[in-house]
Amino acid sequence: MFIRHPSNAMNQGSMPNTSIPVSFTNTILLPYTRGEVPRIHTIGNTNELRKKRAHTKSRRGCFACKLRKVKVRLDTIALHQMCLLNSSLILQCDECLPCSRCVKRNIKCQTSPSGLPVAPVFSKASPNLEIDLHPQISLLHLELFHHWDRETRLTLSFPQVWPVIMQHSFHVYTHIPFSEKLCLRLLNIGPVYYVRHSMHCRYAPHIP
Amino acid sequence: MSAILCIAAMHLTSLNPENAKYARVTTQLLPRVINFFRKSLSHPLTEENCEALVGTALLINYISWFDLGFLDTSQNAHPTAKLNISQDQLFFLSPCIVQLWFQAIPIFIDKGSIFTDIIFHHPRLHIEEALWQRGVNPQHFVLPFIQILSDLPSQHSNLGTPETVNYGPSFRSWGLLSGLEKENSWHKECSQPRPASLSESHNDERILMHVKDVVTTMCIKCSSEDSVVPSNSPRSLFTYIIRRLSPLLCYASLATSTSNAGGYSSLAQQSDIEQLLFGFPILCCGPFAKSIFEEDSRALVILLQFYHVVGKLLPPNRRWWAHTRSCLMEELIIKELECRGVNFCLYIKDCLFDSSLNLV
Repeated sequence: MFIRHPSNAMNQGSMPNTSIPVSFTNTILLPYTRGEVPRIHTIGNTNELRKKRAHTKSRRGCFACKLRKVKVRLDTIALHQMCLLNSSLILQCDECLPCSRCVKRNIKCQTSPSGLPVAPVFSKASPNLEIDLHPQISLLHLELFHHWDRETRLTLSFPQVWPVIMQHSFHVYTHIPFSEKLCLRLLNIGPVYYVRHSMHCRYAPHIP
Repeated sequence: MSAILCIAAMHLTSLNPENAKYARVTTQLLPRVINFFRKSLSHPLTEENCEALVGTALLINYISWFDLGFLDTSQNAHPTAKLNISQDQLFFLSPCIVQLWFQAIPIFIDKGSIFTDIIFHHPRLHIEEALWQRGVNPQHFVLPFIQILSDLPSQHSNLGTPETVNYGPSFRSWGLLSGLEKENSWHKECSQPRPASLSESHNDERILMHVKDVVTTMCIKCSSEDSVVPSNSPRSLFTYIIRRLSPLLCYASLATSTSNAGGYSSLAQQSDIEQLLFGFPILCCGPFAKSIFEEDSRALVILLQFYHVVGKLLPPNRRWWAHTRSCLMEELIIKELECRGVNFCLYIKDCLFDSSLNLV
């Protein structure tokens, strides 16, 4: 997992990789191994921070489109009418109610599962440290997985099979990759122990 | 994933018994694990799911080792009611694991799975070989044990009376294991040096093809509705089980009679012993499982020795999944046998040298 810490980038010892031309900074939190503490490793040009691409985020799309990660188009009304007339044009959510995609798919169009409008709010709840059966991943799950990986599996027989089983477990757990869910939860929850997963790579069992 | 998390929660429970959080998580995860596994078993075995299923089965076996929810731990429970061995999931599971393993073997071989390593690995044969090298007969305990069992009172039959033929998954699994025992020629091939004309990979491939043929034939034979599992006399049944336990008893005896802690000299042997102890309940299907569920005194005596050996042979840092069970079950079985008037005493110490097996 690459976690970018622009503020830390200047302070930590850097080890630029000269073989790859890198024009931005990546700071990586490396997991600890026995007898060591977690450490931060910086790659790239520490003088130039990676620039964030500007974008506008819409929160008014319907629930079905959010679930399917349909991009939202903001210049809407005219397009909506056009799409209703010609369904082959429907590529993006027009944010109308019902939206063109839901009309085309003949499904109920609502702004949230409960039918209530969704407003962008920040959660004031304390970090979730208990198993919550409905949101399937919690910090406790992460703690358990960390313990499994560092301690438990080393105490079991058949050591050769567990890396394979771990790979399978990510595939069969849910439709959404486990690592992505963990990362999203971690971003919401707070402190990170460490995460060994990339958002784009499935589990890599032998990262030191 | 739930099985992995559940095992981790159990491990943490054993490490931090004062922290109720982990025990609570274990209780929450356990039904989810069982439900997922049950649902997955209803799908046909394929190349995609067989590794995950067999791996989960192994994890569930670890979970069953650790889970003692079947015991009545209430203060006022009667000693005989406390044991409640007929509800022990560890022995209920064995037919499922055996059948799953047999059905998965041909797929693993076709796929070239990492699980084929387990086919080549024979912990009992390695342990027996190591014992022979130490000048110890690995089957040393078989005859004395059979003598003791024949003297024990039984609810049902004496050792010579054949059991009636039974059907059902547990007996089908027993049929598979017995069939494998008869067709075990590749076990010997694995441990013998290969002919000079054959390369290592070619030889392995030949053995795997043979295993695949044997297992496929046995699965077809055992899955047919009219398949009959051959009946065993209790003597042959108990001999089969004790032959698997005897090498472990020999090692436990060496552990108590020598200064070498655990009696094992190498990491490889330690791993073999651990695998054999872990897998012993899987062998306990069919007629032996029936004896266990009926709480036959002879089966209880065998289990008592087994749990005793578990406590002795597993090193402290690797026995978290078995430690509580072995201590508690040993204590409860002794109480149960005392209630039945069976004062059984097996002196494992120095047994290899003076055969001091006794029925007191």
